[in-house]
Amino acid sequence: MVTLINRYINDRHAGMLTAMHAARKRVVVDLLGSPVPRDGSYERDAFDDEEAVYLVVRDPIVRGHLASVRLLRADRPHILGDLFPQLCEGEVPRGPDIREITRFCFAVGIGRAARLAACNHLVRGLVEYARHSGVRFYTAVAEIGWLSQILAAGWDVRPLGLPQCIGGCLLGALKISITSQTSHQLAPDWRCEARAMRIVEFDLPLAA
Amino acid sequence: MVSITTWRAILRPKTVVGAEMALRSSALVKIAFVSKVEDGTLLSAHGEMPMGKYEEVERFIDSAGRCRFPYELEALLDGLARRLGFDYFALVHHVDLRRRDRDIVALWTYPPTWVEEYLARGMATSDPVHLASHRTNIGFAWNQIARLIPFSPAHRLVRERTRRAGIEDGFTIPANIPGEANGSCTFAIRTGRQLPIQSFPAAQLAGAFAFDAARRLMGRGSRMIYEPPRLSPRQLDCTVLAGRGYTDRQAAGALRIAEDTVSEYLDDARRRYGVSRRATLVLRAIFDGQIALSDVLAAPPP
Repeated sequence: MVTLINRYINDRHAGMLTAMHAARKRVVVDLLGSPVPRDGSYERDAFDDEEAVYLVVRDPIVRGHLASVRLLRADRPHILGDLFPQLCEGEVPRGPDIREITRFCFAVGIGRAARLAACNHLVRGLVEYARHSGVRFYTAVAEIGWLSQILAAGWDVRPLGLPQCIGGCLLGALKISITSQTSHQLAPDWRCEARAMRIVEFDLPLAA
Repeated sequence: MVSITTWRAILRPKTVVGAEMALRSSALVKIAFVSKVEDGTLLSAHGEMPMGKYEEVERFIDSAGRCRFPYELEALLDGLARRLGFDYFALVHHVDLRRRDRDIVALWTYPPTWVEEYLARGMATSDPVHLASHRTNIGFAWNQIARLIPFSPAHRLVRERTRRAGIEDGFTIPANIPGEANGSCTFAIRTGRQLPIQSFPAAQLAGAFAFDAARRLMGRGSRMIYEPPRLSPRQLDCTVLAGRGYTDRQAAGALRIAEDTVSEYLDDARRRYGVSRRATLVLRAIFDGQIALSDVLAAPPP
């Protein structure tokens, strides 16, 4: 089950958001070695503001946090535009119909099969969210070693520039276009069952 | 400019960064985890890259996406390799290329005599380039292989033979996709030439897109998707204990079940995997991620 959480309903999902920030802390800080955040057990940054939208995959039985992603508007401060504009060969894509995919994160220790399933749900959730809210494409700053796996999902990915070594990582900026065809283009093993697709909870109003 | 030192700094075996290993099977896991540049170091700043390489890659991606036949992709990649300053390319799945019973990616422009020798001697299995590429997701120059894997005499022999065939050095971009055979895209140079280090970023991008284009040509590798057999929780328990060296009797004691029951669980697990030996069962279950290597490396039988 993929749940969309925006500023209108974040108080209703406070527990889920807390679990997500805790999972992000375990991945970003404990595993990837970022500095320990100020509030100890949770990872938050300046981009976790009122306009941020989260897609969260929840365990269907215990409804805990399995995986999540944060979407930032590309017409507001975002990671590519504010921190890594040099990754774009041309202008940084900005606009109300562009979202940036950030903080793609899994609960630690959920096992390979569950992680893959959660990842598939998130990708499907990203495609559905874009179609419902008029997003034409996503941008993302990715460690480029993952490009082969990102491409394997079957969607339309383009680089926005050549990868560069920044802070010991090889980072690249990507653009993922979403059209009415995207959900049909997803690789067979990335397609979720139709039943699973429809349970994206769009609690209106959507962050438009 | 990209220097080889810079590239070496980003290249590290997956085991060094435990998280990478643990999270490898998740496609997008590392997108934008870097929310700020701590030290602000930009090792290769914007504008210093020679112009035109990005456009080359963009053009390649466009054309590769429209390819309908492997020979079209081969011609495109050959042209790109040369424009980036390389002489050869090899786009391959790391499997026994002599087998024809499955769809595999195998496109290259190496000298035919070398390809014949490589296939005839079955060198794919001891090719250090392949083995090293399973240890990282980042492209590497061949002189960095020893940083990724222990370099054995067998590996040295393959490298020596490669050199003798006139292929001096290469830059290999891994394409490791969970549930599929590992693969890679290599750009190589002939004897007497230098690796075009300034082309590595472009080659890194192009390699990933080339492999994806090849997978699309063969139907997205869908036929290579491998569904591991599912073991029950009790079968997994017994497999873990077998991996630790427990006898059936010891496992029975640890799990508080009958010895015969342990044997039955393990027999059934082996049947599901279609293997006859316990060691193979343990290995396969670890490879599929059904049990963790750390489970097996834990305490041996009392």
